[in-house]
Amino acid sequence: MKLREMALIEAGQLFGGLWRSGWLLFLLPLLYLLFFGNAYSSNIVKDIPLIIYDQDQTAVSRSLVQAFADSERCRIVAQVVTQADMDQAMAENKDPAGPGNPPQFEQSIKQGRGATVLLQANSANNMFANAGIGAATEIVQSFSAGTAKKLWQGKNQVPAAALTMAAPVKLGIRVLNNPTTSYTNFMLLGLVLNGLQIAILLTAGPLLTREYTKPETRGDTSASELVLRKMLVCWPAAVLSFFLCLGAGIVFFDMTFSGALWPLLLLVGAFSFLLFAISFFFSAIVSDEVAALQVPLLYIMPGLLFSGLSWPSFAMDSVAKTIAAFMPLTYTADAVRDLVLLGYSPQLPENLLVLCSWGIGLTIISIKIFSRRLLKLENTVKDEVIL
Amino acid sequence: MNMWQRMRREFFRIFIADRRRGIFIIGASLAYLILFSLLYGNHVINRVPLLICDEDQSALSHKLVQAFYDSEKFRIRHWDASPEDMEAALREREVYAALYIPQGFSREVKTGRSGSAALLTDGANILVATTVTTAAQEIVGGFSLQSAAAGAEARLGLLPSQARHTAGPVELSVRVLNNPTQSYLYFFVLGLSLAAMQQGVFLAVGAGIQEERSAKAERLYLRSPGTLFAKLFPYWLSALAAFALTIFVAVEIFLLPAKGQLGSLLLLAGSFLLAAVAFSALLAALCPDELTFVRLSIAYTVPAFVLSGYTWPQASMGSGNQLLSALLPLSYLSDDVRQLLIGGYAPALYRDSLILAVIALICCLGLCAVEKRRAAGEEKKQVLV
Repeated sequence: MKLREMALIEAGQLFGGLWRSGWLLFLLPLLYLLFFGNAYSSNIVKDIPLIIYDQDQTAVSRSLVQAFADSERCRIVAQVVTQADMDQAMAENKDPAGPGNPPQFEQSIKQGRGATVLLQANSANNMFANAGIGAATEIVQSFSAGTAKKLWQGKNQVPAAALTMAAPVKLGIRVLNNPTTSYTNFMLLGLVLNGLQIAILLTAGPLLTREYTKPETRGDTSASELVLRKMLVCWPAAVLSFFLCLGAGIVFFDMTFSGALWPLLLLVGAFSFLLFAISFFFSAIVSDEVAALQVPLLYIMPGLLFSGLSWPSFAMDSVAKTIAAFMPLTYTADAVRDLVLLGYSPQLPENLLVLCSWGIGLTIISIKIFSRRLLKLENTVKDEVIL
Repeated sequence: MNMWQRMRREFFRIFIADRRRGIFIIGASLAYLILFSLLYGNHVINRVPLLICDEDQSALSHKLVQAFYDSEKFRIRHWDASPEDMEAALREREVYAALYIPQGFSREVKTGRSGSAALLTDGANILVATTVTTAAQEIVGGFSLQSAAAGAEARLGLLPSQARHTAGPVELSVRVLNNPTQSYLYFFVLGLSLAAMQQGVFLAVGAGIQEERSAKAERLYLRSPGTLFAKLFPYWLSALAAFALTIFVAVEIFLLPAKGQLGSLLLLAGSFLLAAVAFSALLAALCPDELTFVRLSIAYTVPAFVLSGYTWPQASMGSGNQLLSALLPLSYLSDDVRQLLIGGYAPALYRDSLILAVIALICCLGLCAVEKRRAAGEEKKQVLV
């Protein structure tokens, strides 16, 4: 049978109907894109609930409170008048942060004794606490510099000199590739890749196992031809699905794209090839279609989180690094983000080599196992007929 | 067969006849707990590779570099790079941040004209970028304050303490409650483990429901409260035991804090597992076969976790996702369990437990309706035959 005919047969089985499993390759990554794109649409954590406990109630303390009120990162939800109220409000609100101005706040500043603002932050959710502490540090530092400037002016310094004396060292920060530290640029494409890998596992997982249960549909097609024709149909579909999602992400969720199309195609192609090889391997070794899906189940979340997409590899210890080395996303997620944001990934050749060599190795092993099991099945049927 | 015999039969199926179910219920959350505890074993991001490009080479610039060197947040990889090296090293991922100190930095500070240093960092991974910017701002802020105080002493003839208060009149003191070190292990691992537990429950219950459907003899229709209880109670009890075991391992082996009361934890977990068992049973009853159910439940895992608000706060999601999040049982569990364990108190405990119980009730009613309809259909078929 020609390659084209083989592919057409397989395409009919996978996409010849609305409820066929092949559509999962398109549907799942797209759904992930829509869900997570919408979830991260605000890009940064804003409106952190804030409780104010101002013991001083002076013009200076109120101007500090106003600085918090003016920040888009914070939302004042309550002003309390006692420490007990503050503690209760902190306990009742799920993720609050609360600055407190001490008594004689203004007096201490004016008399040159300095004053301290206390920020209490609930860090059960690090996302809230990090954003809250970052915003508060920025606000209080600016406030302190402004106040110091006035104090220096009070000591007969001209305004410009007073400001530089109050803040003699400045730090300019330049954030490359994702300057707004947008969550969409940081996570969305990685989650779409995870959606794609789940879709591949769900679609390709049962494909070989099904051949064991329905030998009559196989005819005289060899094991390698069967694997090849399944790969021929699924693989381009998976790659196409990724690029459709990328396009949708750029159009609907303002994802940054540097334009490095060919390296991206190579990388996503190699990644999906390895995923199909893994799925076929599990599919070849297990007993039924459900097991073919359940066996790689443990991989789904670790695959994403060990990949280095969020927790960087330099922060992992050797055991975690070893586990990460076995996850296909480790060689893909970070590199895809680099290609999309920066247009360049330093580890691209190395990653392609790893993905392709594993993919080829696993495909050969899968074909061997599949072929041996099919032969065994045929022999069993023959024996039954003879009997 | 009475209720007790049915329950015994179900326990037998979970742990003996189809051991996969038992492994899913007991093993999924434990496996994730162990795996992710290994991943987040370092708790926070430290030792970010840093490049130094010091064109000033003065005593003051060396002091600033020393402050970065002393910080545990950075590990200096290159000491004497050129400006051209900076971007190349960032691009090649040799370093994740670069500090640039221009020529004349020291002179500017000493003559009271304000010296500027620049920090370049890669924002692609925002966890790294946040760590870098926060630590650098802290270091440079402290350094600037010291320099300003020295200037005040020299120019205004103030005493050291006065000079310090004149240079930095307002200080921010931060008190981080519940997770003072902002450990990722405490923040993240438990939620992942609970998401896996939910997945384990889904697969086990789904297998149980689908098994009934394909049973030739003793087909059990879950149309009355008694049969429903006998079928689902063993799953609920096994999952509750798995939850207790997971918490025990998390606290005793991985040293997660445990400030909450056991009763509160069990109340929340019990209600969640009721909802999860009923929800998965209904979903399995609606699916035509086990393969479809397994596909659906696997696809559900990641969105359920992300939309639960465990990492990205629900308040920052779009309204559509907020609504979706409100329909998922995990949204009422994971954050509360974390609050209970590391804070000792979850303000929404009773509200969320009640919502979970209501979800369980609705799903059970739905399941009964589906099973009644199916039983009626099959009886009709038999009559026709």
